[in-house]
Amino acid sequence: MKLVAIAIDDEPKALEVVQMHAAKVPFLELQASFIDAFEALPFLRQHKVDLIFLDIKMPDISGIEFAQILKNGPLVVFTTAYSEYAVQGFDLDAVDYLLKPFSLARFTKACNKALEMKNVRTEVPEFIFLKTGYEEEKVYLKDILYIEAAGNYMTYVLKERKLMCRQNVPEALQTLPEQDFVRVHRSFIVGVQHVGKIARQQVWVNGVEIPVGASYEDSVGLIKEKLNG
Amino acid sequence: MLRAQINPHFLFNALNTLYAIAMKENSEKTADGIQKLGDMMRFMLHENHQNRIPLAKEIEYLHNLISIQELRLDENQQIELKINLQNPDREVFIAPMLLNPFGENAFNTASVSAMRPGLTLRLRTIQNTFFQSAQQLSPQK
Repeated sequence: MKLVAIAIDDEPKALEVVQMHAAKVPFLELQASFIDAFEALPFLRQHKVDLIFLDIKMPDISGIEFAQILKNGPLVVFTTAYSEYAVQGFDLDAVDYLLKPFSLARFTKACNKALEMKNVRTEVPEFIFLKTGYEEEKVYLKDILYIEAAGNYMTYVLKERKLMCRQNVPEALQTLPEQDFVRVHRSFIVGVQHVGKIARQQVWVNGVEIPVGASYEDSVGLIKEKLNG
Repeated sequence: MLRAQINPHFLFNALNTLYAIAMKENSEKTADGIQKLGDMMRFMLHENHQNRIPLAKEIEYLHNLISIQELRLDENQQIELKINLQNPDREVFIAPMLLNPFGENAFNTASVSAMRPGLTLRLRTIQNTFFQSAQQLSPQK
């Protein structure tokens, strides 16, 4: 599993340390670095970020204050030059705090902790309940091959049967864990684990050909990525 | 008075800047030394002012001290270092800097001694809060 991260620090040299260390941690993908915390906000809105390396003492806003803005946001590892803030950091549910200058070994330890916490956070349910008429049926997520939109209904194609459920695509996506299901078309969502063959404009789930929409071309790469873990 | 006014924040940020530069220049040893010096300074600023600290912290400090002292040794002299600092198998608390002189002295003598000297530093915990530290300095045959 990957850990997508950004770093925020008002000192460029401190960001370089994080970048150089990050390059040596295989599961860590440092996507961006910011000298100004406020510039990170739009990025955070547009990208899914698991972890922020956050300096505490910055001119416009402290790392502590910044972390408070991001309620329910990414995990935070504080990076700081002085440890008077350490206790405060833990009050905010920080994953860890790194005291500058920190070694690669210490940095890696913090990343491992963050990865563990991410795994705990993303533990997914095994089943969902689908409303079919007046009843609700228990469906194991691993049994869902794909889902096709048909008018006001979604057809859930399972291993041994089909279920019609009155909902639209966004509603369906909301109940499904995003690491296991990918939307490949205006009307199709596929269960990643069941994808057996991939082309540019089609994927095959259990032998059934499913079209990949022109605006969903990225989904093919996403499926491959997820299948590779 | 002036000494008390050194801003730790400035100090550690400055060290971090040097650390970044050393890493960028691929000077691994320099980077490592700066990082350890940072840890030592933090130890002196914080742990040092407490009555008791975990023995493990003091040992960590000794390891940093040894690494940095090692850098100071004359490479041509080929001083053989044998370091064996046993970590306590249970929580033991000691006064900070209690073991520091053993480490420092060992190196002071090592650096002035004669041809091809060796240095052995051993630390063991015996019984509950008792520990013994041994240092030896012997010119090799």
